[in-house]
Amino acid sequence: MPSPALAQDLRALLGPQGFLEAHPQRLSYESDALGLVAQVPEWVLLPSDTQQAAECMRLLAREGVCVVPRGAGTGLSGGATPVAGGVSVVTTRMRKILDIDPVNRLARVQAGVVNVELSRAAARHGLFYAPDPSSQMACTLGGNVAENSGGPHGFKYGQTSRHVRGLVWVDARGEIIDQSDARLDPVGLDVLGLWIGSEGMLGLVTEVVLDLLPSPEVSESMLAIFGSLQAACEAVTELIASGLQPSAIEILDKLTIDAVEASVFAAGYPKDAEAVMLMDLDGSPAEVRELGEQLETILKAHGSRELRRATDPEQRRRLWAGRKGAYGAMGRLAPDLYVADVVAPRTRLAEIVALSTAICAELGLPCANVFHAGDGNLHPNISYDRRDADQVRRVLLAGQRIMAACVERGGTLTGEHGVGLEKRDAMCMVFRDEDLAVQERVRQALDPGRRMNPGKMLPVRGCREMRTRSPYLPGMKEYDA
Amino acid sequence: MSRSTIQSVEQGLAQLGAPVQTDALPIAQPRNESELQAILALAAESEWRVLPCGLGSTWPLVHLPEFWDLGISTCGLEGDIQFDPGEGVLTAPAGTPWSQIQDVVEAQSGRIAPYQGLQPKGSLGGLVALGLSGPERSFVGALRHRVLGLRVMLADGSVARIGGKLVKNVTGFDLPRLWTGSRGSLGVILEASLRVAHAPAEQHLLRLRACDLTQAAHLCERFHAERIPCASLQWNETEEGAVQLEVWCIGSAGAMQDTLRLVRRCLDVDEHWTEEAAQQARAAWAGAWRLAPDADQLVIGCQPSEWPALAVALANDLDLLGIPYAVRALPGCAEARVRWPHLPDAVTPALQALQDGLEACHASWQWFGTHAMAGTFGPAPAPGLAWAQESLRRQFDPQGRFQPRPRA
Ligand SMILES: Cc1cc2nc3c(=O)[nH]c(=O)nc-3n(C[C@H](O)[C@H](O)[C@H](O)COP(=O)(O)OP(=O)(O)OC[C@H]3O[C@@H](n4cnc5c(N)ncnc54)[C@H](O)[C@@H]3O)c2cc1C
Ligand SMILES: Cc1cc2nc3c(=O)[nH]c(=O)nc-3n(C[C@H](O)[C@H](O)[C@H](O)COP(=O)(O)OP(=O)(O)OC[C@H]3O[C@@H](n4cnc5c(N)ncnc54)[C@H](O)[C@@H]3O)c2cc1C
Repeated sequence: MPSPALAQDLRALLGPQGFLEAHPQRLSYESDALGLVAQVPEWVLLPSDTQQAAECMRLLAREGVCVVPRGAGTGLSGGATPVAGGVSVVTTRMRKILDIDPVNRLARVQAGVVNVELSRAAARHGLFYAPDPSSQMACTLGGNVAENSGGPHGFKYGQTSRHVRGLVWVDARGEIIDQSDARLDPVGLDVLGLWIGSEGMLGLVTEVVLDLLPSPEVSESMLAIFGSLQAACEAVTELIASGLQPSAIEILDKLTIDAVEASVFAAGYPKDAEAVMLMDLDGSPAEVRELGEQLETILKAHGSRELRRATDPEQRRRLWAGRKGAYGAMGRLAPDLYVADVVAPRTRLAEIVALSTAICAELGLPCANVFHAGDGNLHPNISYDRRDADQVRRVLLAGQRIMAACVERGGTLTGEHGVGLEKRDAMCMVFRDEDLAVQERVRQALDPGRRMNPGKMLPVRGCREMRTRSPYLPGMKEYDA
Repeated sequence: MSRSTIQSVEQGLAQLGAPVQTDALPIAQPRNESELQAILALAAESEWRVLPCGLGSTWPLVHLPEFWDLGISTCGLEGDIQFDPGEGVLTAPAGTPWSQIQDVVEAQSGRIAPYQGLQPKGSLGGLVALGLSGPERSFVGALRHRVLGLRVMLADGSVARIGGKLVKNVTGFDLPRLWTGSRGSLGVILEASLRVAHAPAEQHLLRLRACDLTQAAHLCERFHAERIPCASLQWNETEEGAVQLEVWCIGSAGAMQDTLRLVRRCLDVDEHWTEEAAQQARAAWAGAWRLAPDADQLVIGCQPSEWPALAVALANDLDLLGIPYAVRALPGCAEARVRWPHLPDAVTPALQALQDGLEACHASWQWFGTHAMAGTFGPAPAPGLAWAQESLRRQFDPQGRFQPRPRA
């Protein structure tokens, strides 16, 4: 327990708005969107800028207190849950867009700026910020950096790491490392590259410099309707092999279509379809025209029974409403949602989607698939009720089995949600102890005291021991397989 | 294995066609990973400074024996090139010559972007260890965004896999990013997996025969401002001493139709190649090297708004230095490169003037080539960054096995 003297210093530094001590105030920081594991932080600190954040970190270092960085708490892997105790340092008071430089197409923002706010600000200059997680209405850019977040348009434009040009971060000692000079290439070891996707384990990012892209001259959305999910997946594999590059390729399966169409997010997807594929095409007029024709040929050859195309912004928004609202719509099926995040080799999409569905069926669970098909990033979504212990057991088991099946076929655990707490022990499915020891060296270099987000990403026991244990979620009681 | 065994491996180097000088570094060329481990153990015991290397295409630029006791080349390590066009991923042993990789990928409509113009002599591991990108980076991203995973050996002989072979993956720290561009300072890269782009349907190379540096910088600025999606603009001094500008565009037929219209609005083109554009672009790149086969390269990053100022600084200061040079700019991603036949051992007043000019336009720059210049000519590292870099380096190489010997 941190000392009263520390509390006094932090209170003086941050004021009542920035230092939350009362239990009810801290309660809403007990978990992220994974929800299955919760732990109320000792205190919640909300600094308002880099200097204040650094001062907080210096004070916490004085007493060796553990720090869990947190943005909006939309993470789906338990990354911001203070499972090992300590305080949460939250960026939601750091919400200033510090600069938009339209000539050089750069934005400098505080870490707590919400993703969509940057998109809106950039649009005023005919620019856009490419990474667009489905949670973009709420998640912070600092959280996006920490998770290397993706989104539907990552297929063409890449994930967050491709767009970060600079960072200001504070390490566990409270030292500010200013890498905000927007260099095109690193000089010396690429610390910035390593930092992106480090899940809050190397420090707290307080400012981010991001690349903005020119808004495309023409954008079009295309919806392809399929009588089989398998056929839709096969079409994706072929269009990737043909080198076609729409900016997004998303697939929604029957269960998702049903949930969406019965909700306020209804997008007019046909209820008798087994799958719909949603694509965006952007570029110059001739480029989009040509790409549209090429896509049509492949989609029809793979049995797409109908194609809908939309260029009008309102029609496009409607087509996408179903995809963007899919998670919300699933709330109708059950109170809780478990979102897996595996990546399949793109040539084995159909096989792994079918396997995930079969794994869930075997455990008596519904599995709704909505995923970033172009990158092979699958999200089998399992609706459940966390008050039912047996359902929770089966959900976790399904998650483990889906990851294992995917890894066995050349895939991996996570494409964008991060390892966090949820997949920490599953790291042993992908890596050997020797591989993980190399990852450990990174933490040892930048946070030797292991105070930054402890208990996340790296298994706390050796893999040889882990493999003999049953699947469970760290922080929860162990379940039998 | 003894020191003399290692020295005898110099002959192996000669067979590779790499430049062997009388004062050249002894090079070991292990045939498998156990041999590599044995060599590293011996190096540890003898406290040698070791340079991991590939085919040695950069050696003319480095005063090797001044800094290292032993080179270890990965070119003898066996393994196959695996390329799956459906997946868009290539995996090969680090010592694989780049030309072989290009052949395999291009035979299956792939494009091992963004490294066109690469010296055919380089190896895959050398490319990753240098972390340089080529003209296609404005389209497909820099090399470091395309390295998906590596197998590496550390100084203690342990082997680890970092990253993976999938195009999207956030499982664990992004260690491939740390190793890309690490120039052998963390350990030996054994194998690399890269994301491969699809070959563009069309390529065009447009040439403007007479163009000075300031004019070229303004064109660059205009291309950037008007969002013309060309891959690169390159201006070179020709053998006759004139400056010529080349615009290289790649993409689908539809995209090219629109791009070429935009390009022609900005300049009156003297020559235009389509079918042979790739070869022409390569030849142009090679032409720039021809000026200075053993030359250093100064890689300058600079915001587009500063390009005209950069052009002035370069034109003035390079003329002052009295050396022929070649400049290549990527308007899509704010990079300029200057290449000159000069191996400066110290910061001369003329070089200092150039440094001041670069600072005035807020450029960042680094030397590619001479270790001797690292740390003597270049922007200061960001506050705290040097600490982070050094901490990481020490974790991977605590004994300093892979670090060059400091200059006397
Ligand atoms: C409905 C829904 C849809 C989603 N869709 C997507 C999607 O399409 N793509 C995608 O990638 N993700 C998606 N996510 C997951 C989540 O939104 C992202 O991971 C997001 O980047 C998290 O941002 P946050 O601000 O909420 O971070 P948090 O949840 O608060 O934290 C996430 C992790 O980042 C660390 N962190 C946060 N801020 C900082 C900081 N300033 N410095 C250091 N570390 C920090 C935390 O310690 C934690 O480990 C979705 C989530 C939901 C609920
Ligand atoms: C002046 C010059 C400029 C160039 N510019 C570009 C450019 O802009 N874009 C581009 O794509 N290519 C460029 N190249 C070509 C190319 O990148 C390199 O020459 C080539 O890739 C190096 O490969 P190599 O096997 O010859 O490496 P070597 O010359 O043997 O080594 C080069 C560096 O990589 C390290 N290294 C090599 N192999 C390993 C390994 N397996 N593990 C760890 N470290 C290793 C070495 O320690 C050394 O620091 C340039 C070459 C030269 C000479």
